[in-house]
Amino acid sequence: MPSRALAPLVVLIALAMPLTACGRASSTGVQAGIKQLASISAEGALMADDVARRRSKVTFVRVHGAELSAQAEHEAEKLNDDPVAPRLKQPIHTAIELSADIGGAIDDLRVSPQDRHQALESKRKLLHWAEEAGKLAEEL
Amino acid sequence: MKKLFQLALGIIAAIGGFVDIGELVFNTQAGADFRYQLLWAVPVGVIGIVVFAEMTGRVATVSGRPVFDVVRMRMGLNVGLVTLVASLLINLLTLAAEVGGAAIVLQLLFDVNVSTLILLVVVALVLIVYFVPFGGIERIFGYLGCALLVYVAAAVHLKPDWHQVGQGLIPSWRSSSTALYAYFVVGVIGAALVPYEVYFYSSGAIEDRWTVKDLGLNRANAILGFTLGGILSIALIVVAGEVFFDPQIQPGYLGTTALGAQRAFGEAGLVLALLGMLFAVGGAAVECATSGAYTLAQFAGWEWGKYRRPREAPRFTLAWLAFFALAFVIVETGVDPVLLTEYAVILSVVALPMTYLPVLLIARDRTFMGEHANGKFAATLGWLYFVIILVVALAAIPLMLITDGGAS
Repeated sequence: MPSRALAPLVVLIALAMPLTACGRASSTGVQAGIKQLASISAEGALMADDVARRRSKVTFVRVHGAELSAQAEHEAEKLNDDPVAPRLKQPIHTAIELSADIGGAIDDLRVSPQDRHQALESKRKLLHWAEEAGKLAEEL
Repeated sequence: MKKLFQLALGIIAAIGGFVDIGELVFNTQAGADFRYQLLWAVPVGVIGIVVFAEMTGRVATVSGRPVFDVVRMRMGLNVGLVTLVASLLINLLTLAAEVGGAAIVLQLLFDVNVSTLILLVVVALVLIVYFVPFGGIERIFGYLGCALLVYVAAAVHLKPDWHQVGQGLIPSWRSSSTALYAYFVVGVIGAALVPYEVYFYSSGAIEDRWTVKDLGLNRANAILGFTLGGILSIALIVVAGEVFFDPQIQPGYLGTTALGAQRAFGEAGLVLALLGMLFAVGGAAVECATSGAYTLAQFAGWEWGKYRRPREAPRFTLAWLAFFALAFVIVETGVDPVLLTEYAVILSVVALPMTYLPVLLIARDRTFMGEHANGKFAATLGWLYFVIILVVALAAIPLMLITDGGAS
């Protein structure tokens, strides 16, 4: 029976559908993206704090830092690519600039995880940007 | 004395083996988003797995029939086949997530290319399953997974507000972020109730050749092992609540979970957490692959069991090898193991009633179970949990869609 033959296909499509759902044309979607940037920055600051206090492992800082940095870039790409209302263009522009700063500070941390002064500096910046991104998200 | 020793070993293995990537992901996210407010969902899930596992262990011991033998017998070929296919797909997704998780943990430890590590993980796990007997597998991963107890120490060390922690253990509802809250309730309960653990547990009763004399051991293992394992889940939520809630960090990586232990104990905490995770997800991967092979072999009536040599159960051996091979292919596509975990947990919740119901029906059947059938207490608890599982199963997919997989 055709309906029986189609059943596995329907199940597969149902399983795959949520994986493809990543559009964010609404202000809620943009807000979620910016909150994500705030989260990355705050997490980078925690990691930088541990590096500054020699309480971390080089491989961990490099690998997890790379994940966070790549995610910041990915969030910026999504914010840039998705169609949005004109009133959202300015906050998105600010968020994209923030994402570059956040990714850069985390990358600095990854390049020299033994440098405590660099880590302290990264921590200070990342905390500041986490707060800025948080405020930006709240304003939307 | 020997029994007591056996019980203690079983419990230690169960504690270390309780946590898998589902708990690592969902409990950390739950703590980060809602601090202690979702703690109550852990005991709900833990009691559920205790009830389900004890029943399947008892049914397997008394009747010699593990879960999928019972599913086919009670539900017939057609419905049984749907249950089998759903279970196999979910097992495969979970296995891929566990393999990917193990590779990521190794990468965090050694900073080596993740593709190479995925291959290494799969080869190592295949060799372990092939050469190590069932009891050995349980113990290796269970004992070494106990390194995750670092989260219990971290939860105490971070000095949470114990009054708030206590309040979090009392079921409550939120008026704001209701859908997200409900999604994590489903996720935390679902992560504790993953079906592969039960398939593995009931097959283990036959692998270990339990007799009715071992029913006390079955009950003690299920109650103490899973309950004490649940403490690890609670610790993960408390640590995430302490470290990630205030700075509003949304954990999306296993590295974030490890960072919680690092915040408490520095590099030593980090290394212990990563080693614990490695053996917890590695052990879960072995359980997933063998559970897949168990279910398939039990349903099809093939020879199965790790107590048999591979050539004595060739289709069973081929099945778990195929599971590892398929998981390898899935993870090598670059799919995010954390995302895969979220879908695997939610989908396994949806499929759960299909395996739970036949076990519940047979466990109360006196003609089948004799004097070991469910008593009044077990029957009441069993049906109560069937209702809970049904509600959670019905809510799972809509909540996943509404919250965009917990993202908003």
